[in-house]
Formats: sequence, C-alpha cells, structure tokens
Amino acid sequence: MRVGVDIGGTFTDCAVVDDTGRVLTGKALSTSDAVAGVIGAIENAAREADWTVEHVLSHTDVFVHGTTIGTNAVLERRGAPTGLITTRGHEDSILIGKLVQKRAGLSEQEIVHVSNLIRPEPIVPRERIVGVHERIDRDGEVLVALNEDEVADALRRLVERHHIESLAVSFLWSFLEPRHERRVREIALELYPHLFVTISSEIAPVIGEYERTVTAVLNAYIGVAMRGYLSALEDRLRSLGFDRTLLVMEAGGGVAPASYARDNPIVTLDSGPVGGVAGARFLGANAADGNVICTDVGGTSFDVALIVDGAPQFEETPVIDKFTYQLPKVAVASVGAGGGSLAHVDEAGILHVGPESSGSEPGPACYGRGGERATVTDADLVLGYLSPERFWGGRMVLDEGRATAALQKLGDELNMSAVEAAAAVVTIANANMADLIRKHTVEHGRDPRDFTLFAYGGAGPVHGGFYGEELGVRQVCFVRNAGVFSAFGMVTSDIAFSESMSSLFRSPFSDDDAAAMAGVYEDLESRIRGRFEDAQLDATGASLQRILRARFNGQVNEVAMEVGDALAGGRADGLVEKFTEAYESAYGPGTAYPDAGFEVVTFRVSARIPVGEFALDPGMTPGSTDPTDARKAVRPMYSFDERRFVDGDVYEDVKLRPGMVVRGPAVIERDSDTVVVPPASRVVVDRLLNLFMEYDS
Amino acid sequence: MTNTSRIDQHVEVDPVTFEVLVNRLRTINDNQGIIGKRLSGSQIIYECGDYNCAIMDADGETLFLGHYNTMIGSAMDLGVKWIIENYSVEPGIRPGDVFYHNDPWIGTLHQSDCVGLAPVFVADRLVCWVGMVMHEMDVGGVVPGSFAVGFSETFAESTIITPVKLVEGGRFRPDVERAILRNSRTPGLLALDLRARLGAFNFASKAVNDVAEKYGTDVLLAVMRDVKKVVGERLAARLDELPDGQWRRVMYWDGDGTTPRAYRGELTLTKTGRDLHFDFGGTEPQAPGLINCTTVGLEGAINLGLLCTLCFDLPWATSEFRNFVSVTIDDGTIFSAIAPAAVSGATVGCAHLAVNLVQACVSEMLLGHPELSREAMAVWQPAWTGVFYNGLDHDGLPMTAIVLDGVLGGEGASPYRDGQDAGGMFLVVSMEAANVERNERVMPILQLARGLLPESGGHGRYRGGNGTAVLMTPHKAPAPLTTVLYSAYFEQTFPGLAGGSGPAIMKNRIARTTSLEECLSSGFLPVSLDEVTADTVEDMPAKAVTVLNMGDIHLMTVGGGGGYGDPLQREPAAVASDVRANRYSAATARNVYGCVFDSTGDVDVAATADARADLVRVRLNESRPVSELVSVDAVPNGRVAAHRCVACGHDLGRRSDARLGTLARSRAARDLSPLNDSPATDAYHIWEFCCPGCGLLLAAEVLKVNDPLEIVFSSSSSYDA
Repeated sequence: MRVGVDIGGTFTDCAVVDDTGRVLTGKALSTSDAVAGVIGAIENAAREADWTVEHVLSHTDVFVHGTTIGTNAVLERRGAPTGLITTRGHEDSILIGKLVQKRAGLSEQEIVHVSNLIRPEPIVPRERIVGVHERIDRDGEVLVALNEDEVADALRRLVERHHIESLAVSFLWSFLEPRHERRVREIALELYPHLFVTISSEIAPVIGEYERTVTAVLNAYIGVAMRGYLSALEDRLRSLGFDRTLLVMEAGGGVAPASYARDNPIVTLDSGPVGGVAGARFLGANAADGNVICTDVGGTSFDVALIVDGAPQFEETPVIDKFTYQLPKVAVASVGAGGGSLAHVDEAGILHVGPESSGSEPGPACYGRGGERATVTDADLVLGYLSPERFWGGRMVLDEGRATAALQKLGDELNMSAVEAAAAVVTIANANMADLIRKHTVEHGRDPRDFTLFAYGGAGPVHGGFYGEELGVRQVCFVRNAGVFSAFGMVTSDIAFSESMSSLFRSPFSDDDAAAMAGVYEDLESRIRGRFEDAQLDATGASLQRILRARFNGQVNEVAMEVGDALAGGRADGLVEKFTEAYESAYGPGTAYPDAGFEVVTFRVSARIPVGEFALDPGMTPGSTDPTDARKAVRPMYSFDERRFVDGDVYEDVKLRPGMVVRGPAVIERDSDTVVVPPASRVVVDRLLNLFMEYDS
Repeated sequence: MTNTSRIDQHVEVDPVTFEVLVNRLRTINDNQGIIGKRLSGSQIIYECGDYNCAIMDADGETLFLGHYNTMIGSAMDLGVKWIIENYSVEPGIRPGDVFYHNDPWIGTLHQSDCVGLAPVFVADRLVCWVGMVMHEMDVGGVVPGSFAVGFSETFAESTIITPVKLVEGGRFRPDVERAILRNSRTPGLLALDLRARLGAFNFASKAVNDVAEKYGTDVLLAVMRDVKKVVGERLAARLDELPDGQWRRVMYWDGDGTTPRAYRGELTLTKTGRDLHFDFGGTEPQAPGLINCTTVGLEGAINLGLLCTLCFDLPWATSEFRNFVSVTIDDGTIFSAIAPAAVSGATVGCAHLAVNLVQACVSEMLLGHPELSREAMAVWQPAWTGVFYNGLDHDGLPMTAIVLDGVLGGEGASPYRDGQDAGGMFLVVSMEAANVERNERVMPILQLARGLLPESGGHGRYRGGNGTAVLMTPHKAPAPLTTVLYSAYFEQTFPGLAGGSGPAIMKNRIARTTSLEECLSSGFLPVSLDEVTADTVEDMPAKAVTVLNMGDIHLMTVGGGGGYGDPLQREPAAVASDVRANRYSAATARNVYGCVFDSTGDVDVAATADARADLVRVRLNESRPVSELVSVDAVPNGRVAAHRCVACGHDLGRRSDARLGTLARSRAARDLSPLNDSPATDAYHIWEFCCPGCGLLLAAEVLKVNDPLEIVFSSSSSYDA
C-alpha cells in the first residue's frame, strides 16, 4: 500500500492507494498536535475499507508526508533562535538584502506603491550576526586564515548571551573553498553538541552570498522544529507497525527520506502546492502528453505551476516572505484570487476583484457569518453554478438571499442588476486567473495553447472551464478526489535528489576545462551516491541527469541545458551549440548572440529513483456515452454568451460512469466541489472517473 | 503611408471588458519588461533595473509604464512623437520595424540610455507602440563607461544617434547595427541588449494582436482611449481633495567634473485647483561639465515624482499629466541645457537634483491630506555614486565594468514611519544591488566590507534610513584600474521633511599604498580605513577620474535619507533601539534627540525630559525672528494664508510662507552628524525654523553661506531682477 498525508491549514488530508489500485481518502482537522492529525487522517481513510490504522501502516510500502511546519515557522517567525557567523565586514548583507528584499515576490501592481515596500522582519536580528576574520577570493584561494579563537568567542557569546539553538555559517566564496565553514561547524559542535548547524557551502554551494546565506539561515531557523517533529512522527508510525523509510515531500517535486529532511529541512519549505503538481504530472503523463498547467484555486489564493514534457518547471531562486533563497524548487506563481476574493468599485466606477479576501471568517456573504461584501463565491451562487444545498458535499448550506443582497449593493454602484454584477465579478476573476497563467507560461517561454489545464482546489472546478476557454488550452482536467489531490499526488512522486555546485568556466573551453567539468560532475555524482547510502536506498533503478546552467558573458540570466554526452571524449566543444539551441528555444530565433561567448555557472546532477510502478484500479470499463442516468435535475444557470440564464443539467458525480459525455451548460456536483461545464463544451468521464473537458470548436 | 488607427469615438467598452483588458495590457507590459531583463547582457539592466518598458498609443502617449527606472521610461513617448512627425513618410513606419536612438534632445535623458521603439500593427493598422530603454554599459566617448567626467561638450561624449531604423521587417539591419556597435567599448553587451529589445517587442506585438483578435481592434483601441480618461479622472479627483498652496525648495548639486563649484536648483510648486505649476525660476545656468539635463530629463523628473506619489494604484499613464502640469524653466539652465552642453551624467546629475526638488515639494503638498500624506516622504538617498573601472580583468582581457553598490542608500522618512536603512534610490523602485561575489567575479577587486553606515541618515521624529559604506581594493589586477567616480552631495545635502534633518554628506576617500598586504598575511582583515596605514589619504571630489593600484583602498559612502519632523518628538524608546542597533551613537542621541540612557541602555525618563527642555531652550535662545533676518517687504507677494503652529496653535500670521512668522537659527552640518567632517560643509548654513511659542522645529533649509536667506521664500531670480 501507499499512503500520502498532507497537512494543510484547516485539514490534514490522506490518500491511500491499496494493492489493487483502489484509492481511499480521509481527512482530519489539523490541530496543534500535528502527529495526531496525521494519524487521524489515516484512520479516517482506513475506515472506508473497514481497516485499522495498524493494518494500513503495517502493510504500507511507501509513506509520503507533506508538512507545513517549516513554512509556518518562517511565516510566523516561530523558528528557533538562530545565530549567523559570516565574513567580517559583511555582517549586514542579509539585512540589506541587495535592496530586492523590499519587494521580492511582489507583483507589478504592488511594486508601484512605493511607500508600501517594506522589508520583512529579519529572521536573524543584527545582534545575533557575528563577523569573523577569514577571507577567500574568487579563485578559492585563502587570503586570510580563519581565526579560530574568535570563532569560539563568537559562539560563546551567541549561545550564552543570545541563547541561540541553531547556527548558520556563511562565508564569502565558501562554495569554492568550504574549509573555513566546516571548521566553524567542528568548533561549534565541540563546544555545543546540541546546536543545529547549517553551513552554506553544503546547503547551497552556488555563487551569490546573499541567497546562499538566506538558504543557510532558513535551514537553521526551521531545523530544530523539523527535527523534533519528524522524530515524533516516525516514532508514532513505528509504534503503529510502519517499518519502511518515512519519505517527506520536497518543494523540488520529489520525495526525500526523513533522515535527509531532518538535516536539510529547507527542502520542505513551501512544498504545500507541490503535491498537486506531482499528482498532475502522474495523471497528465498519459492524458496530456505530459504538458500540463496546474491551477489550484483556494479561498484566498490562486496557484499556478507548469509541467513541460512531464517535467515540472523550476525556479532557482524561490522567495518566501520576501527572502530569496537558492534551491531548485517547482515554480509556483500565486495571486490573491479565489472564492473568497472581494469585489469592489473604485472612485472612478471601475469594478475590481481581489486581491483582498473575506478569508474564512467572516467568509463570503452567502456563508451567513456576517460577511456583507460580495465575493466570487457569492457570484457563483447567484449565477446558478453552485447549489445552496450541495455546496461542499452538503456540509454547509449557502444563503442565496445574502449573496444576492451583496451583489445588488455592488450592482447599485455600477448601474447593474445583481445578476449582471455577479457576471461581471466572475468575468473579472476568470480574467485575472487567466492573466496569471499567461504571465507564468510566458516567463517559462511557453504558450498556454499547447497545454492541458488541471483545475483543482475548492473553487478550481467552478472556474477552470472558463479560464481554460479564455486561454485556449487543449482540454481541462478535473481530477477525481480533488479534495485530497495533494495527498494523492505525494504517493506518485519519485525519490529525487539533486546536488548543485557553482564553478565558473568561460568559452572557448580548453581540454583542461573539459576535464575539470567532468570532474565536477563526478564529484556531484559521488555525493548523490553518498546520499542514497545515507538513506539506505537501493540506487539500482536510479537515473542520473547532468544539467548545466550557463549564460552569455556578462548576462545574469542562466539557461539550463541537459549535458548528455557533450563532455564525452574529453572535449567541451558540443556545449556551445547546445547552449545556443537551448537559449533560442526559450527566447526565440535571433535572440542569441554567440559572439559574446558564454560562461558556465552551475553544475547540477539530478537523480530520481522511481518509487515503483503502480497503477490505479481502472474500476469500470467504459460504457455508453449517454449520461442521462447521472442527471438529477435541471436548473437555470447563467450563460455568458447569451447574457441570460439558460437551463442547464445537474449531474451527480457518484452516478457518472466511464465513457459518459456531459454537454454544457451543466454542472457536476461532487463530494467536495462543483464542476461547471459551460455551453459549447463537453466533459468526458475517463476510466479513473477523472473528468476531461473539451471545447466545441 | 502608415495607416494610423483613428479610433471611432463611438465605440463603447463595458466596464468589465475594460477592467479585463487594462489588466491584460498591463501584464503584457510587465512581461515584456521581464523578457528584456532576462535577455539583457548587462548587470546594469538585470540587477540594477536601470531600464524600462512602456506601451504607448498610436500617437505615442504613454499608457502603461513599467516599474523599473521611471524617469528614463517616462521619456520614451517623446521619441515616438518625434518619429511620427519626421519619419512617417520616409523611411516610413511599417510592421516589423524597430527604431533606435539615444538623443537627449529628442527623447532620452543621456546618451547611455538607448531607446528601442517599435510600432505594433494589427494587420495594416498601427494600434500602438512598445518601447524599451536600457542604460548601456558603454556607448563610447572619451571616458570609459560614457560618463564624460572632465569634458565640457557633448561632442566629447558618446556619439549621439538620432532615431534610425535598426530592425526592418523583423530583421536586424546589419549596416545600422555595425555602426552602433562600433562606437562602444562593450559591443558584446550592447549587441545582446539590442536582441533583448527585439525579443521583448516580438512577444508584446504578438500578445497585443491576440487581444485584438479576440476582442476586436476597435475595442482594443477604445480601451487605450479610456485608460487615459480613467487615469485622468482619478488624478483630477485626487487633486480636488488636496488643499491649494505653494511649496518651495532650493537645493544644490556639487561639482560638474570640470570645476568644483555647486549649482543651485530652485523649485516653486503652486497648486491651484487641478493645476500643478512647477516653476524652476532662479535655477542656475548650465554647467560646463556633464551634469546638465535637457528638458527631457526635467519632464522625467516631474513624471517620477507624480507617479510614485499620486499614481500608486493606477496604470502609469503619464499622458494625462499634461492636463494638470505646467512647467516654467529658462533654456540654457542646468535643467534645460542647450546643445552642445555636456549631458552624459544627466540622469544621476541634474535630473536627480530635479527629482529631489520635485519629491520634496510634492511631499509637502501631500502632508495636507489625511490619506495621501501616507505617500509623502522626505528625500531619499541624495545621489547615486557610480564607480566605473577600465583596465584588464583577471584573465588579462580588456574590461569596462561598473560597481552598482551606489544604489544602497537610505530611504526618506514618512510622516508615519522611519525610512528604511539601505532602502534604495527613489529614482528606480525596482533596483537591486549585485552580490559581492558577482562584483568580485566580474572585476579584479576585493570588496573588503559592505555594510550599513551609522549616522548617515537624517534625524527627525521619524528618522531617515542609513546608507552604506563600501570598502574596495584592486585584487589580482593585471594592470592599474582607471577609475571613474561620479557622485554628488560631498559638500552639503538638503533638509528632511517638516523639520527633519537631511542625510550626512557622501564621500569617496582613497588610501594610497596601504598596509593591506601585511594585514592579510598576518591574518587580519581590515574593514575600515582606520585599520590600515597608508602613504596618503585623498578625499576625492564628487566627480573624478583616477587610477587605483594594488594596495590602494577606496572607501565609498552612499548617503542616507532625510528625516521627518522634530527629532525632539521622537519616541525615546525608538531612540534607545536605534542606539542599540548602532544606527547612531549615544552622543548623537543626546545632542540631537535629547535622549539620556541609564547604564543598561534604557531611557532615563526624567533626564531625557530635562535634556529635551534644555535643547528647546537653546534653540529658542539661538533663534531670531525671520522678520529680522530677511527684509520681509522684499519677498514678493505669493498667495497669503493664515498659519498656526501644529503643536501649540501659536499664530504665525497671515503670510505667503508660514516660515516668515517663525524664529530661525543657522547651524553647522558637523553638529548633526560626525560624517559631516569635510571643510567644504562650512560653505553652507543649515537653517532651522521653529515656532516662537513652543520651540517646535517646523522646517529646515540648507543654503550656501553666500546665498541670501530670502531665496528660501522666493525665487532668486526675483532678487537678481
């Protein structure tokens, strides 16, 4: 059996895939005792098959866990008191943050509000940052030896006066010559064996001291909490009969053994959205030629990620709370747009939707909890897409009167009826989501029209059909088990490790350069093998990929390319051509300027061990295309083309069978959400009961 | 002939489609900026953000301006208008064309800011223009880096290229490209940037066509028409809410690279209803050296000041400003230089001076509004410091490169919060400083230290952010480094807002033939000039060309921001926390803020109250009525209004300027910050104006000792006359 458990803000979700490929799902409230939530969710899923938790865990081969402990520790500044030892003269580097710290991760619309650009609260306050005598230069040559007495003094001061529990060490150019950082770690652990120590040359051995320092600091900051949590979880799982390696979801899209995540907890940072991306990758491999736009529409935010040819697209320098760090991570773009987004009319009479949100309290007006301003969910209800009684599987009854009143109030400001105002709100919300998708695909040099869109999260299935149409995507997929899709995605992830290192070479390359580059790769590969061994993993099925990040001389933007056998035979000539090719494929013909020469910056080896083949239970064989048996009602729903209500069919998810085709206008009411099928589109039910929407051309 | 789209005025766009398409076009502009930055070969673009992009309508009116360098971006429309006027027939404006220029008398601030402009066609209709301006590393001229320090005509600066058709039918014209690249010391970087613009324009043109295809060209054009209208209405509404009044500032820019003197700029901003009149009368004649700007720069400075304060939630459509803004400036001055004046340092020269004046006056105007006062800020980092190196890199190859750490200045304080330390330059919101490792990779130098500089920010109820100090030395340099230094505010700065003080002066100090090598080999890493011995220590002028040899160490300081309000009103607890964080010394806390601490560093409440009362007493004793210091009758009659002290209600009289009813004293800059240690500061008074009733500090000014106090109240041209 495979088990995925994902801790979210409100619920802890669980997906169990049993040995027949059947998927069981469960949920439990997330509480302050995260371990209890995990066990509760497994219990809830096990109940579906009348099993006990012990039965599930003692038969579990793969257990993947997604946790937000580290992310929350950073966002709420609840990490361990952390100290930083750095090169003398550069103590302020992480506070200055290259200036970009004022606005990192913000949108253009936020950036132009100059008086609002404020730095985040520091993670390590200035008094816990100590500079020591040591200096390495750009060739990795030691100019000033490390002053070890000074280091010991600094440590005593940090621990005894400032009570640090964690220590980050980051020296200039340490990725070329790590010996000073390593020596500080030795001294620290000699003096204070319980200190959690992170050195930058190990956590992020790449050029750029600001981001490298942030990476080390973040890792140290969340290290103590993560170490405690993962040990507690592992103990609890063991006591319930689990005897395999506990795997943890990484923000890089793979899973890592808990033993690795304990020392390198930063790999879990912001990994929340990645479970869904992994699930989309798994399902999209066959259904969508591996080209998928993942969209997750929650109550307050809208997340977008991209999968190209089966590979999630990465960002090298992700941002958390305006801190930029160095770690290849699945790129997720986010805006404040979701079911709870509030509509408002500005002074010039223009309607805007979001980014302000009603949150979960008071929530949309239709929740009847005191919210009076119109939200996207209110508009969805007024337009007939949501049923007051069937919202969220009937767990909550929506108040249509309050929704209408809120929209009428908005409409009064716009000279519109409540329905017209609702249509306007939904149009703008859909367009905002489409804009973010366009922006994100363009940034990765792609065109949304070449993709299948996956729409999940509470409000995704209501809007996915609309923004999918706006973008002209090939098809839209509404996955089965959308409510626990993230947990499901986790069990489909491979074990993935990557090791990177900066080492700088400029073209034209000599044979010595080629040999040195090959040496870097061999070094990285042996590190990867070491990590497999540390985690006691069988690496026989592993595939290793050599990746090179390079740029034209002078450029800062790096383009990644697969090296393949371009260094074979002790020569590096093939790299030039490969680089030009990769560059133009990203930015268009004519944009490369090979005369500038280019510079190799970062070497990376990525390794994947497939977690093993598994197939989902195909369930039923496809039958008739006629969905009549699943239809339960007809109700008016708004048509944007006709600008009026038309009769649409209402389908019940549990009665849909593979092969059935649902034509819009229609809605499909599922346990945790509602799929809206716009006019001139149709939904086909696949063998796994996923829904694929296509548009009539 | 070009088929320029005339929009059918009757096409109506519903508000929903309008909102959808405004966001879409704004995103397209943002994206073309991101693409341009990605493809650029230059740190200046990628890291410093010294570039910008815009979508302009078919007539060249700016509709959407990017958030990078606002000032240089907002001038691109002038180039489009020039091209439409001059090139519509020959060589014609056709699909797939890209025009290119760097003419400061047409539509850019200085020759280094090279502009690409491309018409966007839907079928054969020209629907809009897209533009991208980039600061290029080197575009030629006598001085590496193209800031022609020491030369006094534009003919010594880099070659001016009036608009040329660089790309025709989507393909580079090799003849034109060669001519452009031939002039540069860094042709590789320049060539990549030319391609970056093309990549961005290709994207934007296709994206605009997608919009036209889906919504119709008429709707697209109607949205472009209406976005101007909406921005205009919002601005009008904001101006209606702001009180009328007149605000005035005098500031200087020291050094023009040929003579050591300082040049005075003056601005009187008068708001009457919806009219904002910027009168720069009294501003000095153009300088012999490179600091001058043309009216293009002046317009950019005004645009910047208004966009960042009044348009924080609007598309940056500067086209509507002309309905509200009028400007008076004499030609032949530092703000309106006539050819062949040297202008290669304009952006971070007198255009920056103009920005400082505009920001100061606009901020004072905003103080009169309960919400918009949130956008008011004292002037930020006074000036940029450029450090250009020319020589050989580590590999012995020719190199021209720049240290961009001169952007690490302090932010000005607002009426609601302190300015942030190393908050950056107001000039470019989206800038970034390079990593030390990047600098040491590109240039044969070591950055021995880069850290916040205590005592560099202005004081006030809310303090200005501190700037930074950077200590650099050549390292493994195969040859001496020719070094071009371009900066300002080495003699004086300017006041903060509402009585706050200005930042400390900036400096470039070079210690020659130091003991650095012995230090390093003995295991000691010096991080200040005090920690080495040197043959000589030179304080460099604000603009200089010099040579650095191995063993020389260069200290560059980047200024802080101005403060807001009377420092004696600052929360003592905030002062204590500043001292703990080493933002300034306990002595400054005592002398400027009147704060006294006990042995643990906590505020001694009683002693602080006494100290503050003492400082007020001294202030009142040292001050004299302004009416005794200036001949009030000589101050021309501006608009008269009643004024009262905001703290005690003391009647300051009915006057054209509240300060005429106050008491004033002059102080020496060295009393405000130990960094003001240059003898040159003695040539300036810092004037403080306080309430005769309660002694509250209401305003401050910085004036040359030789300039009459009268000019604080009225244009110096009124006195010359």
